Amino acid sequence: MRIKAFVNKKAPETRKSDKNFIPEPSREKSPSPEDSSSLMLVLEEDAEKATPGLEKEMKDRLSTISEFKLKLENLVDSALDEFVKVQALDLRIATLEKGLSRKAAKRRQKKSRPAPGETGKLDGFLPEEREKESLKQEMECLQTIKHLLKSMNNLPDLLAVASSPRQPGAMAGPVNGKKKILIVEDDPISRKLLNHFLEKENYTVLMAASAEEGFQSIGREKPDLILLDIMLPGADGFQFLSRLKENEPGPPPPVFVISSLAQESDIVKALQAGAIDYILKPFSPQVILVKISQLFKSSR
Amino acid sequence: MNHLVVFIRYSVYILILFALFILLYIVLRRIYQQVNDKRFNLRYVQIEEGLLNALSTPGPESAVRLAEEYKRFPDVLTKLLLDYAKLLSGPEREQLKIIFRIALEKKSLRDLRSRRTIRRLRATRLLGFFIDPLKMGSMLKLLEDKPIVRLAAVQAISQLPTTETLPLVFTAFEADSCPNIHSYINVIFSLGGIAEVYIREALKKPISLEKIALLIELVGAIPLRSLYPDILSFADHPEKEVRIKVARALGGLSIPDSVPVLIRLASDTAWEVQAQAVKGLGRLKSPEALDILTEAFFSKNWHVRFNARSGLMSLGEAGVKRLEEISQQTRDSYAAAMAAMALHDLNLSCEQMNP
Repeated sequence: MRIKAFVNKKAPETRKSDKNFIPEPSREKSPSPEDSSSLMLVLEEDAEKATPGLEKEMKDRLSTISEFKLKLENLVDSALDEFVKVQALDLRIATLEKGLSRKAAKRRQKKSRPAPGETGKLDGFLPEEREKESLKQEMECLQTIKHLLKSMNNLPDLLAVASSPRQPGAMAGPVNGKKKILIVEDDPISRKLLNHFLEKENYTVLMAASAEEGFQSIGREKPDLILLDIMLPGADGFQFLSRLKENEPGPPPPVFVISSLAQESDIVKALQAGAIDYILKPFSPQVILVKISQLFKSSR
Repeated sequence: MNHLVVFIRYSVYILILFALFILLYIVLRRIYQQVNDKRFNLRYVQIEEGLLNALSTPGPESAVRLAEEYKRFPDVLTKLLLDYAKLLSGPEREQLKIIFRIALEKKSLRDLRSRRTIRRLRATRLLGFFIDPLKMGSMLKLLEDKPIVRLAAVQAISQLPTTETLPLVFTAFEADSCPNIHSYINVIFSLGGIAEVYIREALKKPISLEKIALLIELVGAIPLRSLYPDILSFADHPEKEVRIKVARALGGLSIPDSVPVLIRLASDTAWEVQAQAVKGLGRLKSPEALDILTEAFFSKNWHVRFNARSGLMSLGEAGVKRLEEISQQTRDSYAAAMAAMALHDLNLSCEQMNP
């Protein structure tokens, strides 16, 4: 539905632009058919005039196509996001339903075997009933959200593609269509700061407080980029870089080092060990974001 | 007798009561502190969320709003700004500056005159990040404060390096007592090339050996190549610590002219000097160093051997040839094994480069 709207919105513009690209002479009054030699001359002239126009048109169309491609990619990304949300909701609903049925079974058991001294009459609003009510309400709410999301999506093909099981170890690329960035940093404030800025830019952020945790994350999630601090507990950033180079079967993910070590020798060492950039602390998150987006653009 | 018993009994009662009172006081104080800490942390998390949003929003409006909203909690805001100011630069630091100006500047300037050291220290640190250069005068008094506050003041002043502030930093360094001076490494290192004139002057002054060694180390670490002749005069210093730093600094400067000096230092009486000189020679990758590195491979000290190994590995074909020779000799089996391992590592790295 979103794609349709997008196409409908864009189509008139494209048509309009098509009109503009018709070479001017062809819209002019054509020469009479009797005078064939003059007609040939005019056509030749037209062709000469039209060549630069055609080139321009080609270029414009190519840029429009790439624009469309980019927007489509974005749409696919967001559609996949929503699909994941729907799946999560499904899961939650299933859990809630299970919980409800378990509660109902318990209630039935209790009713059939009243405890000694209990009258068997449930007066008013018991905590269990209250819980059940709130669970029901939550479930209804979630169902509504799910329906809304499904109706918004209306991209069955994409959903089918996304729901099809991935081949194991198929690609290190992003789930959700988002790029995954791993932050290996022991300082929780730096982690929080980077995480905030990256999540705002719609990246999937993984965090590790040490080199060991970082390697576990890499094994599990296959990040597209690593932001690495040098001063880490246990193995330091340099050791992390050399181990990354040794351990990865394919090309290892690119690494940006973010460190307060400002000595030339440290910078050279990190770059020689395989880092693609060295960012000094204190840093501007905006600069890091620009560098990251440029990296992903160039790799695309 | 009776009076004595009564006296002892009452003394015991009083002692028990006093102990109970102290115990109660400790328990209550601890509870109070825990509650306060919890409240502080909760508030910190709450303001931090707002701060992160303000930092990622362009324009000063959200920062102004945050400062106005939370200026009632100056302690939390101070900690938050200190935590984030050391991480951020550029437009995000400017956002923090806005919050500081609105919510904390007046209080910080007032706190500089506080009787409590912790307040003076916190205010100095905060002002170090955000102070207006025109208000720098208020920091000067702190250069005569307690060592910890003095160092914070020096750090604050060095954030705005000018011809007026830099002499103050170096005067404080020259006058400071020894336990504090290692903290000056970061301060002077962060100044970079502009510290050159002041380091040259300080090296000529009669300051302690520890300070001279620190300055020589900084010459190599920054690195300040124009100070090469100034540190050469310390290469024959009677103190081992100074010679170690000279060898280290020469390695850091990587000036080809320093090879003969490093060769001389490689046969120093102290193994620490030898190790640093051999390391420096390895960094310079000079073919003249080939023999001295080979000799160092058979040193009694492991550190010297290890640095010689790294040096020979960095010397290319000539180094590999020497490593092969060492690996084949039999008079020192340890050196032979080490050379074989170095060759193995070189092979591995070659394979990695050309798979």
